[in-house]
Amino acid sequence: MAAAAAAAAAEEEIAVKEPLDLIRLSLDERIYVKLRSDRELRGKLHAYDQHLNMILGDVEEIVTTVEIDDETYEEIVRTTKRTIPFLFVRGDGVILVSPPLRTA
Amino acid sequence: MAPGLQRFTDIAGDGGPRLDAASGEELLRMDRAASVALGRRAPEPPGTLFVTTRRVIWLSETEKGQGYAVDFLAITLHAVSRDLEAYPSPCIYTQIDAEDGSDEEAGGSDFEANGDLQLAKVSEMRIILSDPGQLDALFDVFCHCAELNPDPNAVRNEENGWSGGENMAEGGWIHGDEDMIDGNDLEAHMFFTNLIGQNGLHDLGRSVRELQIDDQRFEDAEEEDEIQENGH
Repeated sequence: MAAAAAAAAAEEEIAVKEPLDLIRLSLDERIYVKLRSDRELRGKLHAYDQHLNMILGDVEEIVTTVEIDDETYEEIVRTTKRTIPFLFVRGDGVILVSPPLRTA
Repeated sequence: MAPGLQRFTDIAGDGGPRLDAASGEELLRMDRAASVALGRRAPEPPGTLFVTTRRVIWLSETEKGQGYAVDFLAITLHAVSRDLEAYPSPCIYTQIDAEDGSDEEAGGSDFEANGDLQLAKVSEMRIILSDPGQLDALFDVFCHCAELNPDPNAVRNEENGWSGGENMAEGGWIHGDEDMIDGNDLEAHMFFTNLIGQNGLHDLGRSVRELQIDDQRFEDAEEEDEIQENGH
């Protein structure tokens, strides 16, 4: 058991040398991506490159918009959801990528 | 040679410093009537400053045959200082790799003990020229010489830099092990195989074209809210 734990720890050390390695460790996992224009995605990461262009599968997209009511001038926040089976994400719109929480 | 600031006494016949010509050292610049201030001491009486491809040498006019030298490898920082509140004369400010001696610095004795100068503990040096208008030219010579003497330890940092990922082929995709099995297996697999081996802009262009061809796919998306999008 101790040897297995040490091997896992060593592998973890070897695996993470730079920030993009955290993205690599998220391959085939569901990730949360925050995009510009108030968009959020949750999907399975199939592929990526160093620009954070990504191929996501089984994606849930959430778009948040704020409208002003003409009569009461009240702010109305709406969220629109849709599911997309397969999605290409262009990296220059990526703000945040959240890998899944890892269990020891 | 010991690192940091050292006393220099190797004088050639013409009154200038004897350079290590065998290893390619060359004189690049000479300034007469230049002073140096070591640490927090007052400036030395004027002397002559020599800048070579390897080090900075200053020779005293009042004490013939005496001077100081410091390798560019030991100069960690150099800048033009013009703020008279920071220092009463415009000068070139430099920081020098020095022996560890923070305890003595805290004691306020600086690098003088019993009146003797401990050059190895000097971590700051200022070069004051008789003509402050020449400071920019001297700064440029310092920049040139710093480039001629790259820090041997810096190479390692560059390899581990943000942009230099060893795992990232230039423009290359990194993909997961599992196949992308979605609604249409055949189209998904065809799309996936196109990713392997593609590079750079061509890859992006083809990916975009693939998406456009399969544009019908997006029309099947399920709307979970009746409110329509605002055409983002």
